[in-house]
Amino acid sequence: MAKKGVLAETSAVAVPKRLPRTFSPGIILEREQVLGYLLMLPALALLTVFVLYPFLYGIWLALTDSRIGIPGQFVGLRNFLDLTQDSIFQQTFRNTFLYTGVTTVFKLIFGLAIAALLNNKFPLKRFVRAAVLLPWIVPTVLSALAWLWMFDSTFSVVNWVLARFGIKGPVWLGNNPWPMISLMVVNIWRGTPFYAISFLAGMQTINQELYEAAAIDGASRWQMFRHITLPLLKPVITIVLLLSVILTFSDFQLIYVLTRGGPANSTHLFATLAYQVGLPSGEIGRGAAISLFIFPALCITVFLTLWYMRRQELD
Amino acid sequence: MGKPWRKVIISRREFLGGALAGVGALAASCAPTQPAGPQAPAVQGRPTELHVLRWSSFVAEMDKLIDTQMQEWGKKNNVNVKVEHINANDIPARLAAAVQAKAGPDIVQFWDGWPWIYEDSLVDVSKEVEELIKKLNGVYQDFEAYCKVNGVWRAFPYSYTSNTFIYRTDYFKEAGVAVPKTWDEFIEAGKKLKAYGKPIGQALGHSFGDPPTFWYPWLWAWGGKEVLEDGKTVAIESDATLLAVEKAVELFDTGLIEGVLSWDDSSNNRAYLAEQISCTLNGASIYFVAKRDYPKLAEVSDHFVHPRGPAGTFSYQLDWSVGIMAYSKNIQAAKDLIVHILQPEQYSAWLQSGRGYETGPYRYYDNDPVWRTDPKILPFRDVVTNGTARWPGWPGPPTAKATQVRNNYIIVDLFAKACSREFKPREAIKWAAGQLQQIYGRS
Repeated sequence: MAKKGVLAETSAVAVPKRLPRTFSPGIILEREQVLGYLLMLPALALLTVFVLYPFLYGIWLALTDSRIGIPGQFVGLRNFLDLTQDSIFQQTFRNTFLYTGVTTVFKLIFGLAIAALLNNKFPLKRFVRAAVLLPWIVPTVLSALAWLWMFDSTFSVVNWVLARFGIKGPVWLGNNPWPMISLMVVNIWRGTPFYAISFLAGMQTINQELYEAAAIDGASRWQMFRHITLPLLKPVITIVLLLSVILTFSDFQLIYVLTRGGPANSTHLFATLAYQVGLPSGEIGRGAAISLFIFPALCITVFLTLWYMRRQELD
Repeated sequence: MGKPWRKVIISRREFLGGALAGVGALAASCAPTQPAGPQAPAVQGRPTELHVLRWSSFVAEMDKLIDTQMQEWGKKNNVNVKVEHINANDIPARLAAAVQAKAGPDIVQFWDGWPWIYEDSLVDVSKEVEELIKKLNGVYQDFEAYCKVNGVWRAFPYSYTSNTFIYRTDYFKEAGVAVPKTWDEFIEAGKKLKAYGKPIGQALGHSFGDPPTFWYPWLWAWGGKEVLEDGKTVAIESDATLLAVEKAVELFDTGLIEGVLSWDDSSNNRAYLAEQISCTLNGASIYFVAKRDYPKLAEVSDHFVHPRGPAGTFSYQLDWSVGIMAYSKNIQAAKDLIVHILQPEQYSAWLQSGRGYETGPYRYYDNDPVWRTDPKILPFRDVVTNGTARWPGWPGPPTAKATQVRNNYIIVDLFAKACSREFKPREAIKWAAGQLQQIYGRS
């Protein structure tokens, strides 16, 4: 009986009872779905305050005739339409695409070449690899000031060297097309290390056995580069190109220090023109519209890059 | 026997609870220990903080003295005065951010037509300025144009960084050139000086000072103007402007040193001190540096004021004014401070610390002792007292639109596009007219 009684008691305990549902915060936090979103909140708040709000505010400004300190009226797309008729903006538009396109191609070629060289064994390899990064590490304003001196129309060290060989150097930042060429040179000089080091990191992840096998098959170094290095480096190249295009498109510091968009607006990019119109001239609505022109162009670039990457992955 | 250690397991609930408790404790410790009450009134009811934003002058002694004067006033009046100096080219961005955020410096120094751009963000200082004008024998017309916006003084006229032509007396003599009285003579002088190997240097790039202060008076002197007296009707397309552009191309080709299209405000200083050019329009900074570092160069340097053109004699001086931001919580203290530093006891000492680099906007300072220190600096006063100074937008008022034209370098680029051969003179004028129509035509 006693046993039975115990069994009966035990079975009574074993029957799951429906507990009353509680809503204490502690229990809610134990749920993955709730906790996950809660942990995301700080990052989301930061992004909202520092990215989303300024971006939406920028869009709003671009749709108004706001001036600094004076809230403007909603004007729809008038700022954008006006800009398309503005010869300075048209020139800026061309400048930006030319500047980004040319520098990206050169940075890609030089970056690949330097990475291929640095991927070999040679004395002081680590030192050289670190030194290559210098142009990218030095604050842009400082290096731009150094270039400003090198391009100075009166005291250019470049022209001084050329003069030793009997060559009369151009007025680098003065007479077209040299100002834009000079800016491109400095941008390439500054940006190439980023390409080179990223590509080098990518190259070092490639399995050496592939090269050994190719060598046994009698492949030349160029063939190895063409058929092993390049295909396996494509994901890295794509990401680097993506970042680089975004940064070059919105370049400001180099131009601001070297030319301020001059002479005669021949070196304005979107960012410098947006600054000039939006801040010193006070037309912040129009300035916002200029800077927003960067957005669709970058969206297309990002879309194409990501689409290409995905296609590569599927292949 | 139990193990001497115990594995500590903290559930997420415990972790979050602990973290929240910690944050709460931290917040509590940061909270004021006493309930917030009304702030103790400052002595004599004055506010306690004033933030002043000024440019970094090329004459460091002037900055040092004004800082001292302001801080001494602050000590006497129980006001903590913080003076910040930044590059003049960076003031627009700082000011724009402050105006948009309605927070930042209480007092801002700016130049030219900025009171027109920031009309709604600046305090009405008419009473104080009118009193100063009465006490200090009047103010020059260009300052009135800049600071009195639609009948209300929005800023205190503060100082001129006046500009004249510095030239090498020895080069002029050796090249057989006299000081030019007209712009035609100036062009002829340029030809001879360039042939002599020491051309004229004049910036034609994008920089806030030298390019506009040379090329605006050039336009006016030949009879050109961007708008009519109404300040709205674009008038750049004229025979006078065409003459101005053609003469500019002639000067550029035959008299200017190569590379001026890329010059900024400091390029001519370097070129003159390196003895590469014989003449340039500038503030007194070149002469002062020469006196300090190259005394022999200073001995063979002198100055002359703007030559005359067919339409008259014109100059464009860099006019500094000081405004009080409408968001300031210390407006009365700010007014008191500015009025104080403009009084002769302080202002005269400040002018003398600059040795003639700055000129007073009030006529009282025309005979300041600083002008008796060196006869070679007198042209910096005379270019102000001769009444030739005009402003962007002249003969209309220096409106926000005119300042936009100036800050977008439309007039400078009108000449740059022609001189660089990007456009022929007529095309350059057409381009400028299009730009002006866009700016003046916008509501």
